[in-house]
Amino acid sequence: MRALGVLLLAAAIAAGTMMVGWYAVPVLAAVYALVMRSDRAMRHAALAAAIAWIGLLARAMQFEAFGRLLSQLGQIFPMPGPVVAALTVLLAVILAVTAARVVTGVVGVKD
Amino acid sequence: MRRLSLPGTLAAATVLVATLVVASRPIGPLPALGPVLDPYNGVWNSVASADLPADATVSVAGLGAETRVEYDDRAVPHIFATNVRDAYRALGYVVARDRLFQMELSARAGGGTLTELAGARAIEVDRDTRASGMPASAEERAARIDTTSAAYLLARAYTDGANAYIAALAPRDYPIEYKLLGRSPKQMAVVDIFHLLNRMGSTLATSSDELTHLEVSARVGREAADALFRMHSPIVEPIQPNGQSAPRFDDVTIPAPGAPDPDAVALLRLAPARSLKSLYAFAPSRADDAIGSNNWAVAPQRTAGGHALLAGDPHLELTLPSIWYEAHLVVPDTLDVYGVTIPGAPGIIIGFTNAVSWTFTNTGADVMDYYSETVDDGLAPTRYKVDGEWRSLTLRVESYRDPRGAVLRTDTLRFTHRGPMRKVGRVWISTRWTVLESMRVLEGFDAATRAKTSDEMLAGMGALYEAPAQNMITADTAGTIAIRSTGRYPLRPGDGRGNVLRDGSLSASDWTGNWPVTDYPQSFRPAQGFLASANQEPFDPKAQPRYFGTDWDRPWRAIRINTLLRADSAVTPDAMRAFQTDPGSVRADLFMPVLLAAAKSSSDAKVTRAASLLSEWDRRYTRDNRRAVLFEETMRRLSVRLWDELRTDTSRGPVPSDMITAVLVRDSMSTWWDDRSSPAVESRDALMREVMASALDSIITARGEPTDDRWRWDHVRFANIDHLLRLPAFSRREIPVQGGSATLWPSTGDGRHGPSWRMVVEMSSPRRAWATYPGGQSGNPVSARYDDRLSAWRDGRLDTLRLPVKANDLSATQRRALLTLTPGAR
Repeated sequence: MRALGVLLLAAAIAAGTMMVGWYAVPVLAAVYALVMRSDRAMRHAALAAAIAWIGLLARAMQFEAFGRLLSQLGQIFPMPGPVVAALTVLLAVILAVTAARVVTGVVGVKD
Repeated sequence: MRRLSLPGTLAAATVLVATLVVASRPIGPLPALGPVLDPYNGVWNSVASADLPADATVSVAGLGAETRVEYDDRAVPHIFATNVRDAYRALGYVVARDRLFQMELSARAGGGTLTELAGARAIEVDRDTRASGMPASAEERAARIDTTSAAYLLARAYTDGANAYIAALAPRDYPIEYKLLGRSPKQMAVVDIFHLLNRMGSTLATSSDELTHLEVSARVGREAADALFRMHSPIVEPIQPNGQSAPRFDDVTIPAPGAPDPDAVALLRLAPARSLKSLYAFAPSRADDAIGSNNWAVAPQRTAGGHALLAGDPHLELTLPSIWYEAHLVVPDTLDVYGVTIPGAPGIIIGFTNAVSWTFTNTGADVMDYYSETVDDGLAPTRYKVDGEWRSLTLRVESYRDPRGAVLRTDTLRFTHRGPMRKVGRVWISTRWTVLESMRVLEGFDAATRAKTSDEMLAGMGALYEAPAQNMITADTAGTIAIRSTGRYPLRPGDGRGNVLRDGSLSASDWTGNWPVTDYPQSFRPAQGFLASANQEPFDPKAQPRYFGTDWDRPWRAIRINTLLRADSAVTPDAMRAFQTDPGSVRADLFMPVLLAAAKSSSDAKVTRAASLLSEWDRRYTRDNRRAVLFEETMRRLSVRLWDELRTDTSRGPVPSDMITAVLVRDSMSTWWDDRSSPAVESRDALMREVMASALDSIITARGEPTDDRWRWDHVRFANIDHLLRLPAFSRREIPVQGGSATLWPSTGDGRHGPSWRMVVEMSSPRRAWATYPGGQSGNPVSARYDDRLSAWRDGRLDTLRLPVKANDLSATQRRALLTLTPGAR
């Protein structure tokens, strides 16, 4: 059930990102934490956010141009391209974890 | 229910808020990370539009009938429409599809609204642009345009097509530049076309002749200034053939440096040179030869195939994406035109139809004049005096806005009847410029694409096209080759000169009319069987001595082209191609013997060694040669020391071209040869020996011994092609080139200018054509189509162009993608 919950949350985050943008991540993570009221919510949210955004990045990887983009983003930021990809996922994880933690901190968790 | 620790919650809240702030706001040069890194809507999605979809159908409002766009294997769209307006609507659509950001940036650059895209950092650029009067003029022309005219309707169809693409674009599909800037594309308007055309004018038709003449007069007198920055080129190889089979060195003398001209000195006290430069700060700066375009045409009697041949080689600022976009428009029985357009301009600018091919080089005639005005208030004038009467200035308040629409600042611009007026030092100076008055450029190009002969094409352009003035060369299927420096040229009162600041308080200073087209530099069906232009003085001054300008490029490229064409009586398209990257140098051929002769009488080991090394050079700027670097350093040092009289404590001052140096070479004892900063009194040969020795020292210090690979030309000169936003990741730099100063592929300055489009057309039936440009069709930096032509361009190769005459002519392997545009509701 836990795995299913994480997968459902990941699907929701992916869909939310596609429909409304990056800020769907903390919102959905917060909603998840509010519903779950569990101290596992943070881990679940982090995992789901990572799965969702890795999945969306995997979609971009299907395109031949991905390698060029990775290299160019590496020059723009500047850091190795794969690090930019990792930072992308990390951004989602941070947003999800902190949002879930704030909510659980405010409403508490079930014993 | 269990509570989690408060410090933990507070820490999480702090991190969350900090992350949200970082993710939603730009920090320094970095964009807001959230929308940028969003894996679906952000930059990562740029890969999705890197390739053209194999088959797409799109509904476009206003389209009259279904229009088919077949992209060939070079990603060139071939537009098959049933009427011309649909063809232009489709052109707007496909150009926006590939080059949307470039379209907007060009329009904003010409309109002085870059701050609305890039924020306050662009404000000084925008202020210069607005002060030039270009945006005001574009708005006025857009307001005055006849909305029933064919040109307007085509322009409107084009912008509607672009807007149809923009309207249907989801934010996740915005070009990557918008995502990095955090902006959205704006809809295109007809006025944007005028902004773009003005921008081209600012690149091609500005001049600072007045300032140059003033500065030089203030240092060495007016007579010397007239001689160094001449109305007429002393080495005559005109565009309009003069019946001579070789360049002519006119017998001119360069007077010794004289006393400063008191009037010039007084004026520069009131309006220092640094301030005067603000008058044309809006014009892109460039090195010699930067806009060193070439074109030539060969009549059937001198070609191997018996058909007229035409070569186009316009040189402009090199950018990624390229300034050009290749396209083909076909409307059965009405229009069949192939060539390159500038994203944002409705139509093909350079190209060919079934009947005629054409291309341009820049004329460089003086079409911009300055007037010193008498005003009623030195700080905030509202009136200016002409013939003793006060006239009201037209005031215009310019607002500069940030991307959110907030006003960053305002400026009040003032206009006399001549044009925009600016305060320069303590003087108010107004500008008159043909570019600001040019109304019918679009009509000119429309007429050109419908012409059936060279004569018809040049007649249409002669009647309609105004600015920037261009040497338009044509070749047609009937075998006619022709050239005309087309544009609008003002007639001036008195001695007719436009390179001096005129007294604005007199109406007698105003332009008195325009040159009649019959007086323009031109040639139709020349007996010599070929025509060429390379920005040189278009007339032989013996045939036409009137003032036409002073900004003539050195004639070295023109002489080289004509030499190559004279030597080949059976020219092939491949020879035309090879000429475009010919590494030969008339300049080196002229100066090398002088340098070597000067070294002969020297016993100095360094001079002897430098001469020995130079004599090993074949005077060709091939990429693997190891001696051009020494010649170039020698010439650079020669110029610095020769023109020391024009130097000030703070600047090098205007530098005469080496065409003047070539004239001066004939007078070995001229006082100009003496470098006053050295204790000795140098003659020509002494100075040459000194600069050869010092150049050798300098090159060895910088690059090692002459056997070192760092002496190779491909380690010295490069093309540097920057992205429009100068982002290194999207730029391609240090591309070795086969060319140097004044070769047919001129490479000077910072390498940011060069051949922007190389084309060879054979006017056979069916026509054949070859071309390339530095870049690729796509504006998307992650696309393989972004820079896929770069290597061919670097190596001087041209692609064979696909020329389908009707839809479905392209074979399956030749067709890359299909786009079907269907009529949609408005």
